[in-house]
Amino acid sequence: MRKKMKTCFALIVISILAMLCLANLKQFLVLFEQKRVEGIEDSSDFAEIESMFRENISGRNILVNTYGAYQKAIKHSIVGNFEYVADEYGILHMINDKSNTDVKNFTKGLVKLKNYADEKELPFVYVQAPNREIVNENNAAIREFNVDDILETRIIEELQNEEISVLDLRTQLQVSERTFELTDLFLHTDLHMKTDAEIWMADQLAEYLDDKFDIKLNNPEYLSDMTYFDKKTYQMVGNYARTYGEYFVGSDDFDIYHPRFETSFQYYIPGKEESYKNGNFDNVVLNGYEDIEYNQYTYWVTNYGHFMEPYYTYINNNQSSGKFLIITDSIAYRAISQLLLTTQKITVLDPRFFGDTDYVKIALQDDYDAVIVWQGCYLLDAPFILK
Amino acid sequence: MVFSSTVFLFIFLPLVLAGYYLLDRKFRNYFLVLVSLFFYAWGEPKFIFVMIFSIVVNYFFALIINKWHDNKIIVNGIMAIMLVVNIGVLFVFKYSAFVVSNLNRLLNTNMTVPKIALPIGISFFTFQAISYVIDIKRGNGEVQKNPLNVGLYIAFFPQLIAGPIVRYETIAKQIQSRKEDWGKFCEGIERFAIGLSKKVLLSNALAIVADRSFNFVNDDELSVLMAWLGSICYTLQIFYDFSGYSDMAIGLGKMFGFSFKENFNFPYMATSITDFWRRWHISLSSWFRDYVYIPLGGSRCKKSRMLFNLFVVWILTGIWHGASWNFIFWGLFYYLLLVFEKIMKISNKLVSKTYRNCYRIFTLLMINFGWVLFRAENMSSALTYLKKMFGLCDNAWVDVKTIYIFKDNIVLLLVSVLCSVSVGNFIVNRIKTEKGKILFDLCKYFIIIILFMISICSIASSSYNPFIYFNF
Repeated sequence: MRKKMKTCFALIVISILAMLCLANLKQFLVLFEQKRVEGIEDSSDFAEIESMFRENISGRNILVNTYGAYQKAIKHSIVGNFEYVADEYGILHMINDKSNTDVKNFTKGLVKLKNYADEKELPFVYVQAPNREIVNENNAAIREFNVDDILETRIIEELQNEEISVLDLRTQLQVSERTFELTDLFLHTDLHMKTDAEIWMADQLAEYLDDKFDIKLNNPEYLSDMTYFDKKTYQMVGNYARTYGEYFVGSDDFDIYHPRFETSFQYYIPGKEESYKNGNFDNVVLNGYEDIEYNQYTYWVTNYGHFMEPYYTYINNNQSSGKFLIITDSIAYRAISQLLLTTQKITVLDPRFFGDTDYVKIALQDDYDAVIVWQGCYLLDAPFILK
Repeated sequence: MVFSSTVFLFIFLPLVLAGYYLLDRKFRNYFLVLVSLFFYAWGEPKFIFVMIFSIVVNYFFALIINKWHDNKIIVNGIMAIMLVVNIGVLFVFKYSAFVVSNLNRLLNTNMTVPKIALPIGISFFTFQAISYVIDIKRGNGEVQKNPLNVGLYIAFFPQLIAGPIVRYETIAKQIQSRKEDWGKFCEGIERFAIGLSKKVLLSNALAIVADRSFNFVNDDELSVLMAWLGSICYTLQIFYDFSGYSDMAIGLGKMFGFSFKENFNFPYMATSITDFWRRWHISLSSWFRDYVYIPLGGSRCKKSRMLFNLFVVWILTGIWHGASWNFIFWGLFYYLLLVFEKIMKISNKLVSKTYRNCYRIFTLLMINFGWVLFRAENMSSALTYLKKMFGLCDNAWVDVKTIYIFKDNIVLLLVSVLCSVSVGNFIVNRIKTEKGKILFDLCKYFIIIILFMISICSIASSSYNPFIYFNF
C-alpha cells in the first residue's frame, strides 16, 4: 500500500512536470530562437530569456493568483521583496520608506516654472493630490512604510515659502463634500485613485480657480453631478497586485463615466500631424479599451490620457473659454478628462518623457488662463526646466 | 540555470528525464555529460572552457598516476602539478583580485587589480576534481579510461554548482554500474520536491527579511530587534537555501540512479560547535578532514601540531567560501570556538541535561553571530551589525516597522524553526502500527504535492530568487 502511494505521488509530480513542459516548450523554443538570432553572448542574455519565459508561461495568471491566495492564507501582508504592503482595508501601499529623500531640486524646478508663468502673467497653481496613507492615520507601521505624506508636506512648506499657490487636496478631503469614503479614495490594487475621487479633484480645482483667481469654468455641474453620465464598471487588477494576483486583496471596480450629452473634441500632438483625432468623448478622450477584448488585467487607467507622450493637447469644440497648461503624470488622467468637459483647451505635459526638450517653454508660446502642476509624489526626479 | 527556475522545471528537467530514459543504457552517461555541459553553459557560456579544461587535465593526471602508481617520484610530482593547476585556476578566478588589492594596501603599491568574473560553482567542481585524482592515487576507485566519465563525475549537473561535493570513491562504481529503479526514482522525486519547497517557500521568504536588515546596517533606523530578526532570518535562510539545494541535488541524483551522501543533518540541533560541523555542509568538512587535516597529522600528534592543523583547515574553510576578510574571520571564529571546546573538553562536561541545554543555546548564539560575519558585505559592516544587535550604536531597541514585519512573518518563522528540527523523524518514530504509517505517508505526500505546486506558483510569479551558495 505504501509502495502504491509512493508510486501515485511520483506519477502526480511527473504529470505536473510533463504538463508544464508540453504547455510551454513551444514558447520557450520561440524565445530562444529569437534571442539566438539577436545573438547570445553572456549570462545576461540567458537571464533575459529566463525572464521573458517566466513572464509568458502558459497559465501564468492562474499560478500568480494561486500564489497570492497562499500568501493570504499565511496572513502575509508584505508583498514581494518589500514592494508593497496590504493594510487592514485590503488597500495595497507602495513601500518607500526613505524619508530623507531630497525635495529641493524638485521645488527649485517649480520656482523656475512659476517664473516662466509670471513672465506671461499667468496664475500658477501647485495641486497636491491626496496620498493613500490618509486611510491609515492610526496605523503607524503603514505610515512609516510609505513616506509620501512626509515628502509632500515638505514640498508644500518650501513652495509656500516661495509664495506659490498650493491647493492641498489632502486637507480638502477632511473639509469638503464628497460622495466616497476614504477607503474608496484609491484603487486598492493600483497606484491611482478611483474615478469618483479623481472627478472630485477636478471639482476642487475648479472651485479653487474660481475662488482664488476668479477663473470660472463652464458647466461646473459636470464635475459634481453624475446624473449627466452613464457609468460602466469593469473589474481591474492593478499594477500593485501583479505580483500576487487577484485573490490576495481582490480586484477593483474601475468606473468609466460616459457623457449622456453631446460632445465634440479634437486631440493632437503639436508637430505631429498624424496624431490628430476628431470626434466625441469616447472617440477622442478615451482610448477605446471597451471596444477590444478585455479582462481583469486590462489596465483601464490608460484608457485615459497618453502615457509616454510628453506633450499633447485637447480642444473641446463645445466650450469657448478655459485654457489650461497642466503639468502632471498619470495621477490626474481622469480628472483632466473630466475637467475638459468644462474647458475649451487643456494642454498636458508629462515631464517624465521630456528627454532633452524644454517642452514647458514651447508650450508657453500658446495662450492659457493658468499653469497647473498636479502630482502625487512621483515627479520628484522629473526635469521640469532643463536650463 | 538554477533548479528553482521556470526554465529548469518546465523545460530542462522534463526533457532530460525523458531523453535519459528513452536512450539505450550505453548512451546515458554521454547524454548526461552533454546536458550537464549545456546546463553549465547556460549560466555563463565562456566558462564552459574552464570546466572542460578541468575535466581534461584531471583526466590525464589520474591516468598518469594510475599508470605510474609504483613510482613515487612521478606520482608525487604529478600530484604537486595537479594541486598547482587546480588551485591555480581557482586562485586566478576567485582570489587574485583580493590578493592584489590587499598587497597594494600593504605595500602601498598600485598594481592593477584584475577584474575577472567568477565561474559558477568553481569551488565545488575544483574540489571534486582534486578529489578524483587523490582518490585514484589512494586506490579508492578505478581510474576512468573514458574522459566523458570523468566529465560526468566533475560536471554532473545536480551537484555541479552548489554541491554536495561528491567524493570520487563514493561514486566510482555508480558511474558505470548503477541501476536505476522505480523506488529510487520515486524517492528522488520526493527529495527534489522537498528541497524545492525549502528553497522557494522558506529560504526565499526569509531572505526578504534578512536582506532588509543587512542592507540597512548603516542606517540609523536599524533597531536592536530588527538586527536580531535579520540575523535569525539569515541563519534560517542559509540553512534552507543550502540544504534545500542539497536535497534537490540528492533527489536529482536518485532520479538518474546515483546515490549521493547526505550533506546536512539538522545542524541547528547541534549540542556543540564540534557537533555543528558534523551536521553542516558535511561534504565540505569531510573533504577538508580527509584531504587536509588527516594528511597533516590530524589529532594524532602533539597538541600544538593539532592546533596548527585545525588552524590550516579553518583558514582554508573560510577562504574557500569567499575572497574577503569577513570569510577569513568567519573561519577563524570557528577555529577559536573549536579550540575552546577541545581544550576545555566540553563534550565531557555536558553530562547534565541543564548544562547540555545551556550549551546548546550558547552554540546556537555563536552560530548566529558567525552568520552575521558571513553575510555582511565586509568586516566593518559585520562589526557594525553585531554592535547594533546589542544597541551599542545608539540605535533604538524596538520600532514600529520591525514589530509589523515580525508579526507579518510569524507563521513563516514558526514553520522554519519547526522544520529545522527533526519533527518528521520524531513523529515517524512514534508510529508503531502499519495503519499509522500509511496515514502518515498519505499526509506527507499530500503536503509535499501541495508545497511543490505552491513552489511552482511562487517561481512563476516572482523574480526574487536569491541563492547564497551560487557565489561559491
